[in-house]
Amino acid sequence: MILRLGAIAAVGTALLASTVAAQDYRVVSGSRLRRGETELRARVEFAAGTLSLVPGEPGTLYRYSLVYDAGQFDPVTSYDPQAHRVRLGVNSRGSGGISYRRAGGTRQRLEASFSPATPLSLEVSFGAGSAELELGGLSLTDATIKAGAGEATLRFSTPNAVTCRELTLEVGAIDFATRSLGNARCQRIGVKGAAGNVVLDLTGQWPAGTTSVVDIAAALGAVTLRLPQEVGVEADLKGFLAAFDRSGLLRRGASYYSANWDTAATKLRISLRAAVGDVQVEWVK
Amino acid sequence: MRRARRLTLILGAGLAASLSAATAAAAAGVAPDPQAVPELVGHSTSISPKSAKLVVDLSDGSQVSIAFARGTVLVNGDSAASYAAGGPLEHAWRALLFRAGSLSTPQVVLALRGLRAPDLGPEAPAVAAAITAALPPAKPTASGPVPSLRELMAGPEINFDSLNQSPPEEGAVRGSERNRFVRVVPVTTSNRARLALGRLATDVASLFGALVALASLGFGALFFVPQRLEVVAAAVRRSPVRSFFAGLFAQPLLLPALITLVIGLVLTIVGILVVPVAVVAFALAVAAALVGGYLAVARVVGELYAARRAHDGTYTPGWTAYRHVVYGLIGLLIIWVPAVLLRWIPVAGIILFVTAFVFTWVMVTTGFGAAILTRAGARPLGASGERRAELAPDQIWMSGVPARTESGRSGT
Repeated sequence: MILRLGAIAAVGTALLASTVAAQDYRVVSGSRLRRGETELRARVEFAAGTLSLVPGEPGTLYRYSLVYDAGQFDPVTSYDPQAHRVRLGVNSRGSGGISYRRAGGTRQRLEASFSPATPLSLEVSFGAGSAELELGGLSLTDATIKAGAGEATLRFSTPNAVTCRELTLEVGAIDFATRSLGNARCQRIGVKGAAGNVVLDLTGQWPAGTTSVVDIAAALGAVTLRLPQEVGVEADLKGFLAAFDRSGLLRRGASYYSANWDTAATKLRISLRAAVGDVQVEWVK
Repeated sequence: MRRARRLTLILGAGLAASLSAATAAAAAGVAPDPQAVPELVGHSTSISPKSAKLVVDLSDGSQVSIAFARGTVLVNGDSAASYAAGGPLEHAWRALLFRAGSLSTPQVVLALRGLRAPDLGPEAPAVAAAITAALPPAKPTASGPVPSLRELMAGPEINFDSLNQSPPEEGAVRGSERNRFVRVVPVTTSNRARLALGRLATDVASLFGALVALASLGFGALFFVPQRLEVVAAAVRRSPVRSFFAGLFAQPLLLPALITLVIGLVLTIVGILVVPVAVVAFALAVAAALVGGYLAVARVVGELYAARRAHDGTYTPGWTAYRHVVYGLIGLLIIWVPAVLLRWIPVAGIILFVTAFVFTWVMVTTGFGAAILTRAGARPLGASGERRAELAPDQIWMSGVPARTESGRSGT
């Protein structure tokens, strides 16, 4: 009898305890109409989960839908109409630390879109999980993407509506793939990577008659460069214990050049510094 | 005088003109000046199992908040109406708010008209009236047609149960043909059990990881500094209480010692350059003393388990010492097993956790004290006395302590 009572009490306590321990997810969403804003400065901070950024409707300045774990995070959804600054995402509670195990198991997700009609300065800080960033078709003036761990894809499926000053990518231990970075139409692309696997797809519609700069610094990881054949490429390669694939590049002095460097209307100057890593080159028609 | 009469005439004419204009506008049904009415510029929603809130941003910078919470409709924080919690009206409200992220603000506000439907409950007209009265009128925009509340309610449901419990692949939000309303589904027992088991497995794995890590450190200590570990272990074995109190009193002195070290280095001017190195070295030394002491305690516990007593200060060769360390670590960490396995029990779990923590702290403190007493294993405990005993009998008189003869020792 005592054993039975004990068992019932244990089961009851277990159910109570698991209720206490259950995660507490919340949903927030919102949007704001575009009312003649000449610029938008967006900052997306997402510690863990699934992140999706896409171009939205021209008449809507921004739009978001966020599912977050209220037990671990606080939502960040603010807009300053004077500064045209929007902040979206989540802030970690307490020490701010989150383990990769928790990040992988979270159901948190943020879906956001921005108006393609408003010049956008974008800063994305992504901690862990998976991210799908489709920035093609926006009016991107500059962007900084910081990605920690997990996997992320950055796409420019359609050309940027304006000329982008700079695109900065800072990636950690992550599978980071880019698609059609040429469509970003950036004057400068900077990539800093560590302990990750980075695919830089430099195809797309680069602004004709321009020379863009691509700065890559990578350590303890693999970098795959997908280069468009119609663009002239100058590559400055420096490395420490790094393997470079120089296929399709000819050495002239201290740098390497593609065969069409002298004749190409659009050129890319690539500066690549790698340490303890592997650099592969793929040429794309 | 003439000027005053002229002013009166102008004012009178102006008043008459404005009155006539207002009368004409009222007669013609013309709306007030749109500049005076703030426009809808944005909105945000927040949905939790207990409440669902809509905040509408207006062009003048103000906000209107409407929340459904526990049977009460709150408009700007004030109770405006009541509704049947869990009823169709709340479901309709949640359905609209869940999809509000994909709608423009005018679309959301215009869709709110659907809340007047009588089949949503007898309280629906009053609630809808309270909501629409708080909001400025919405103009149809080019952002698309206004969705009907019925369409929104027939769409996919938000399921907090699935959000909280199911794997992400299954989707947090799923379509439902059976359920027309957005519903908060209670957490199921099977999901609770699955979640609890997952956490339990992780905690057990963490405990095993700690054992492996400490065993690896023990292997390293026995490989590189076996004699020192044996000396510290001997101190623990010989004087556990003394070691514990030495560790206990040393712990609060760590910070003052570090500060003294830094100040001392700074005072020498030249030593300022060494301060960062000294701080790191101090932290490493403390960590090494804590871990080494704990391993020494494990060594003694393992030895007790194996019922093999080694001589003080002697190194046991081969794998025996390492086996003792591993046995001891298992013995020391086994107290965490009930704390990990029963952690989910609200009160007992905390008690077990605190017990395991305190026990581990006592062991670490004892080992730390033994490490201090033996100067990190460099000097065996009671080494001075042993050295005195090693003196030749004819030299004993030189000591300040009178020597006792063999017969005196034996009591004869």
